[in-house]
Amino acid sequence: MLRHTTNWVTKPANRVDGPDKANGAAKYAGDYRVPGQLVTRALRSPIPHARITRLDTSAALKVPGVLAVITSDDFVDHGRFGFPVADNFILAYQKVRYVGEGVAIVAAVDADAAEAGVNAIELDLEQLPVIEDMEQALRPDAPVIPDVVTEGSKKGQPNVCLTQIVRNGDPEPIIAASPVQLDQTYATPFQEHAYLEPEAVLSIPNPDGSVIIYACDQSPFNNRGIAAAVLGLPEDKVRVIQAIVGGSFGGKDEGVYQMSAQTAKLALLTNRPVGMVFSREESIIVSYKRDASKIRVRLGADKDGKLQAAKVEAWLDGGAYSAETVLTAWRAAMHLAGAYTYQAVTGDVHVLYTNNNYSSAFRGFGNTEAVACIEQAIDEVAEQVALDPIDMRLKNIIGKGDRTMTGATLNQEVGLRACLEWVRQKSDWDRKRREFPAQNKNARYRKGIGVACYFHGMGLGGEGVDFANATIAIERDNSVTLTNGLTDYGTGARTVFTLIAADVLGARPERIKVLLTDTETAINSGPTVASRASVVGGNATRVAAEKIAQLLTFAAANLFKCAPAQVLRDKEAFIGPDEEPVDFDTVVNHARQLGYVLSAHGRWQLPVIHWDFEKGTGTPYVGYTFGAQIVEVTVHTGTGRVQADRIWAAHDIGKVLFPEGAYGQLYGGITQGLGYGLMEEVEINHGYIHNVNFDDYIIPTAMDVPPIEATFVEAPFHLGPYGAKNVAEPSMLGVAPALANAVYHATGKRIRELPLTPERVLLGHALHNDDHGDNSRLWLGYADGLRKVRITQAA
Amino acid sequence: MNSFGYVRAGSIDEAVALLNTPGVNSRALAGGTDLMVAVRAGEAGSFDRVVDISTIPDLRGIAMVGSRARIGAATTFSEIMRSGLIQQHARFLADAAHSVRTMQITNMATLGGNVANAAAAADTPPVLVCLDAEAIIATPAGQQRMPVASLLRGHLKNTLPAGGLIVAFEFDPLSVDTRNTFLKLGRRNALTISRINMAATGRLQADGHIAEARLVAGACFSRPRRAREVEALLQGRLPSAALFAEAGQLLMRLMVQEVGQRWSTEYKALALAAMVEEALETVLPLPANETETVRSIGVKSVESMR
Repeated sequence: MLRHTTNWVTKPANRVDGPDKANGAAKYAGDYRVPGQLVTRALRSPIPHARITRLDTSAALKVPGVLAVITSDDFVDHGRFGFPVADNFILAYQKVRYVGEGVAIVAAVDADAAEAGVNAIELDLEQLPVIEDMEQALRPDAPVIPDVVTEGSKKGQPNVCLTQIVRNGDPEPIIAASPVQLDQTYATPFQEHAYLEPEAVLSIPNPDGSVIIYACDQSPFNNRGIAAAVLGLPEDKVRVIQAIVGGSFGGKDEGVYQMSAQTAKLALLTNRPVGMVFSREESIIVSYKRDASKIRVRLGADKDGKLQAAKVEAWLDGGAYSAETVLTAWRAAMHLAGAYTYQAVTGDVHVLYTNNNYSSAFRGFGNTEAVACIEQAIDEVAEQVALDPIDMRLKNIIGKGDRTMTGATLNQEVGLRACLEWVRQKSDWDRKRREFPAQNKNARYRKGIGVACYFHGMGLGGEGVDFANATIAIERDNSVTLTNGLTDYGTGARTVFTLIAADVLGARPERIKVLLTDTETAINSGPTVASRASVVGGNATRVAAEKIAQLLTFAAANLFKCAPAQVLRDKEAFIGPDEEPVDFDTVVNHARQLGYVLSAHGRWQLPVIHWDFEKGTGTPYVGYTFGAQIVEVTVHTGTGRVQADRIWAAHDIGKVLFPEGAYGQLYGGITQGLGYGLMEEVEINHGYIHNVNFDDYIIPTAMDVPPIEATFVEAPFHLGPYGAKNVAEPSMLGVAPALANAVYHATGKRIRELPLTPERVLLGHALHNDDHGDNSRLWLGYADGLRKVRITQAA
Repeated sequence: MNSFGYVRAGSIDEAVALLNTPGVNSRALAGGTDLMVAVRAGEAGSFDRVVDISTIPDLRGIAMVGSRARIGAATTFSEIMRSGLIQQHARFLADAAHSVRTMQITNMATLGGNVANAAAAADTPPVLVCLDAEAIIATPAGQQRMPVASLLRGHLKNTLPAGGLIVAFEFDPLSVDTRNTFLKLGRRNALTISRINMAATGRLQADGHIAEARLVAGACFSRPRRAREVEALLQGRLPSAALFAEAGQLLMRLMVQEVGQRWSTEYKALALAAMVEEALETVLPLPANETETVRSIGVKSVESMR
């Protein structure tokens, strides 16, 4: 059934979810209204770290209109959850560890009653010392944040959750013997996902004691698993339906699972539907962020700029709960030294507990932080050996058959060289690198141009078994329905699945509908993360569609009274030996008459690889995506303001299945990278988030995004459907370090701490607004002094 | 969120009457771009109703009245940006309005609202102060005039007489040989609160000496006011990079003197001095041998905006 030409895949196509989103018909979880629906309000911690010495909700239950109040006591094992480290709770248990952590939830008939209910809850908190940063977390006398035994506990550093390592030889003697050495430390900020849709869930109880949860989650099956466990129900009593999701970028895992379990519990207690919708401020204060990092890079190179060895150590601020930072750290470790060949590399990534909110998944998942740092370090080495930054990279990048920084052999086509050469040529790099430094030294506006490149491991890699399930059915009206266990939270996956199914079946995309992912109709496929939907979910769709296509070919052969191999296809037409085309509907109807069941299930799995987490050796990924990005900037030397003038991007993502979608991901990713590089930074002062809405937490507007010239290098990838790889996460990786390198080129100032705010560029360091939490407390309901929360000092 | 009533005024007299109805705490509502945000944040205080003044014909429009330019208080930023009269006589006011750079706001926000709200970082007040503009204020006792500079008392504080409503602004158009500029430093290019903004005008004598310079910095003093000390320094001198640097240093010292050392001072002092130099270079052109390439970022240069 292999097709070498395609009818729909790779061709111009519209997003299948586009019209509904554009005309307002798409329903998000916060849009659902059902009779009897209750609203919720939360009692949240007003301080970063405290022991809960008393929590009494009895008065709240007496408030008119309040129907239920829940705390950690309402869940199995106090609602403990978390993978791989079970240190988190559905609602705070015994301690609160960050500002905004949920302590109790009230369900009531309206918002005023719910708010009055929250104000009636009595909560006594005994203040604990606050760990404001990673240095404090490592001090021997630091208060211990988690209630689990950590890897660091054995070494007297209980706030070190764990350390992910890479061991590929011994770099130290090689670096020591290298004529060119670099030892620099870089830092990256907390980043807010800034999805358009704040979190929303709706839980509806069923008469049989089961519950339906509509949620804006990334991974409905993970959501179901956690909800069932903490509710004490078998998984078949919890049905999770993913509503249309308005963006996620990694941000709608743990937090939405907490909301789902909370509302499900309240729905079961009250026997009423219970909704929960966050305001933007609640979303920013309560939801997790991209970890902030510090990364120390030591490199050794020879006089010609050939890299010899790397020793990289990173510290990630995981905040109050480890969440997915444990896995983020692993991916960071696998990429710490970049897309280069070395004789030896070691990497150590430590996950630390602090009282700074908490960190988890975010686009790039550790590699964003790694690329941001190593790509500046490579430029610093290039300067030491007086090599052009692109020549430096071309000299050292990995190619087919080379050993990557982890020591694994790269057994795939590599389009990285082509990417670097494309951006070099398109940006007029060589002339600009030569001419910009000749600008007047005193000029108020100075231009610079910088580059970064990357590799990004595909799929889950060593994090877990990487599979997906799809189903396909031809309905009575000859429309086609698809399900996939991997979801579309705005990524375009639904369209990719549609195009693949259309192509394999020979059915117009208009016939095909991808259902919302529902744990009762779709088949568990693990989490929708790691930009794996197109490759793994796409292959599962292909497998399912091939089964149906085969049945249709048999039916057509029966109709034509010929051998199946004699049946030809032209889009929807089936053509037999007499060359008279028969349409899709006729063949489908004939297949039914033959008794064929026109539904199928496809499962597909990436080859199993092995990574030894203890030893830090093995094969981390089955393959990689590559890319290079160049940013040209103008820097105002009087104010430190940086303007990106133009961006060039070339990415090897294998075969492009849905060009509009891929470019959409690319432009969006570049914009998110621009924000990460220039302006985005969740400012946490003494544990309080200062910028709690988009007036203070700023992201690029359309006026900030410069022209982007981009291309895809389609190095074929044998495992991907049609040779495809992935683009969602890699798209943002190069922008921030390319910006930093461009600012250096323009000004001679190396700013090793992101984002490149005017203060950092002008002064060389950031300035901190010494906000003591008024902004956060206002939005957590503490402005009017009606909360009955008593805070005492520890004796 | 508080609940409150709504009433629409059809005329200035009706608006003043409604705003002064005994026993009813009323707030004037024009574009709502500040008021509604404050209401949501619980920062607007309590009031019984809003009086919508946005459709009163006499509060809108831009025209010459005798030798003076007059802008109705409920004129929107978009109308100011598009006005040929403003482009001709006080282009930097259009630039300040445009610096908001989002039509959702510029179509609603009004000049009177921007002044009455008196936010320290507001973009049009420095320009009005630089123009020595007057506000015409309707009160139950009749109309009165006040310089815009004395209407602004500090962040979110105005000196409007009780029950007063700004009706219009008037100013003398800039002479044809006066250059003007508005600069804005924000964290991004649109929808950004000014860290510093600046309005300046300058005129040279035939012999190249400075006939007049005016400079107003916003968002870094307790309220926008003409930097008379800097203006005096410049008066009668020949433009030079050294003179402008001295002017920048002077304003920087004045800022620290007035508002003291804050968390942001280390940065703002340097940026303010740089912006003074840039503004003065634009309105008081340096001799050719001192000119350097100046291209604005943060705000598009005046030229590229047209």
